[in-house]
Amino acid sequence: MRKTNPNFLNGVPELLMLKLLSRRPMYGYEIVKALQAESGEAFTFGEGCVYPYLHHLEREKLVVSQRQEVNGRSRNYYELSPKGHQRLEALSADWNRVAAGISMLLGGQHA
Amino acid sequence: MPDATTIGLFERRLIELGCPGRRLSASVRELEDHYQDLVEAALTEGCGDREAEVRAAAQLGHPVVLAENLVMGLRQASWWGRHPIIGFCLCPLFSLAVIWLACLGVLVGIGWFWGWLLGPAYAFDESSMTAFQSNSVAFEGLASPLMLSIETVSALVLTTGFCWLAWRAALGWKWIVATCAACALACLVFYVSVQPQNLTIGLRWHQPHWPLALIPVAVAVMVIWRQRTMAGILPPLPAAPHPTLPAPRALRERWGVWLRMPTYWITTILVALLLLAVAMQTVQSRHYAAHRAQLKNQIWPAERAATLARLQARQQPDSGVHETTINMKLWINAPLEADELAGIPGKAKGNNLASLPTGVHVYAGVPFDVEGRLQLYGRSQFYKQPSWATLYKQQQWATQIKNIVVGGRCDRLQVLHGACDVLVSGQRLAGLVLHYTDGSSAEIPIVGGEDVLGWWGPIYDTDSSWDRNPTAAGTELAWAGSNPSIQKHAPDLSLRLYRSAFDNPHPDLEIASIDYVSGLKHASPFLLGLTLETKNP
Repeated sequence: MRKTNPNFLNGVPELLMLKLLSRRPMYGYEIVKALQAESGEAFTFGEGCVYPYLHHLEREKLVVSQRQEVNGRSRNYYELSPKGHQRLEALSADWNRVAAGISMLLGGQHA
Repeated sequence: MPDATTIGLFERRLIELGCPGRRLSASVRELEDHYQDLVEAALTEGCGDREAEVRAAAQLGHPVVLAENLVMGLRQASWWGRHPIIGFCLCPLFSLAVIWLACLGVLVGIGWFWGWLLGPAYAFDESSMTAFQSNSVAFEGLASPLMLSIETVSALVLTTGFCWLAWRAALGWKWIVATCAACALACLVFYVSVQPQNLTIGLRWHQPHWPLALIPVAVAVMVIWRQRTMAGILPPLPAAPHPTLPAPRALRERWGVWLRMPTYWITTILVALLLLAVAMQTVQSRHYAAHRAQLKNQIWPAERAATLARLQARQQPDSGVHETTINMKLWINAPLEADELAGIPGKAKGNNLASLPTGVHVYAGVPFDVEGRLQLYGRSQFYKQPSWATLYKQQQWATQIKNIVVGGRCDRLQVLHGACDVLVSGQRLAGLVLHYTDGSSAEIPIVGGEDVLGWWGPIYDTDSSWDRNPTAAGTELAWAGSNPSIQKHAPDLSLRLYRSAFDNPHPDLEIASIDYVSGLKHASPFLLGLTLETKNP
């Protein structure tokens, strides 16, 4: 059975969702599909797991949700707040720094 | 159409875990939307109806796990959710006093606002407050129902407040019931005493406040009832746990969690301190019980017998003086057989002076004609009455008994008297207003602790935490006895009456009459005998 390192992955779902929502308001199903499509199916999970993260972001006031009717279907749309934009910038910078470090390490570029 | 079982299980688990209503309905609706989207996608790909539903349910994840993850996230989002033991078991114990003070503050604020609105005549300022506090009858008439209301409102605010916090933190009905239990305990041990110029708030186990504790108990019963009703409506959970549910933690891992969580340390330390306090208290109690047993069985009986022998030896009139007893039968407002709180059923039954002989007898060297009690009002009678009597059937003794006809001269006035509930020394409990035949008058104050002590008290000396002897030179213990009430409630104590001698301010003038006037303090004084004393020529 594959083991995971939760601490290492902390903040990743948040970053991904904030990034997706920075483009346009989306609802839960749409977010999951976008995650799967844009990550090349790298993320596979029970699709309902996305909601605790979204609710957490909403409590932190990083996103705001609103019930909207589009094409005859009423859904809960999530949209990035100004605070969410700031958080996305900070998380992106952190991630880029860490990813660059990991790439350097895996690529064997020693000093 | 969403799969009713999937959504039903999700909703049921959310309710079981205590997900707040608004969040619950929003989450269920959101999951339904997602499920419907998955079914539509499967149908678009050419699946049949049933196959599409099965595929959608599998893609969504197990509803029980989804519900648990959702609620865990909610719990971790607030301080109350992360520290439920401190928040809902310990905080209520100390919050009632704060809420009580806040309610009092609101009430005072309303008073200020009232005064500001209606003008200076109704102002609730310092002078009106002082006047209100100095008027004991008005103070007590308002204080008792007011305190009852504030306590009830405080208990309601405490219970609903903590229940609301537990509900909002998604901690579920078990924590709501736990916090109701903590609130009930807080109500039981909460103690508040309001006297003019004196407010005492604290916690004590003595005389627990049972009616107040019924408020959180009632809320807990309602929560349990609602939980059962809700659980009965929804479909049952599968009997076996779902394989994706997390396995119970290993012991080693639990220790790790314990070390990382301040809530657990604090709780453990508090429980350890509590156990230590209980153990110390138990040891101390055993020592104290042994000491008390020795006092009760050996020392106090011997000292009581010695005091009674001394009282008997003083039942001879003093020589060198002439004494005239006054018959006060016409002014008696309570026979010796009347209970202290006559007319209030169940209160102090048999607490009277029926064992005191009537007629002329010598007490502490002075003859007195005892026919009954001249009982005056004291605030203790107010406090001892149950609240319904306070509010609807207030029964008071007289605040003064006027024109006790005397008709004679004397050098000293001898009185046989007592008082119920003398708590404070140095207070003027009553006064004897002497009216002379020339129209002048003079007052003799009767002071608690100096001229009289409480009628329930010890007549032994060793380890007596009560006042034992009045301090005034002219006062001495005149009679000691018992009644059914004192035998039932405090068998080590005795009824005590005192003989006090007061110098007549104008011995050359004839006293026409005397008024016996209450000082309107906590104690309730009473007069049994009055004798005029003149020196033999």
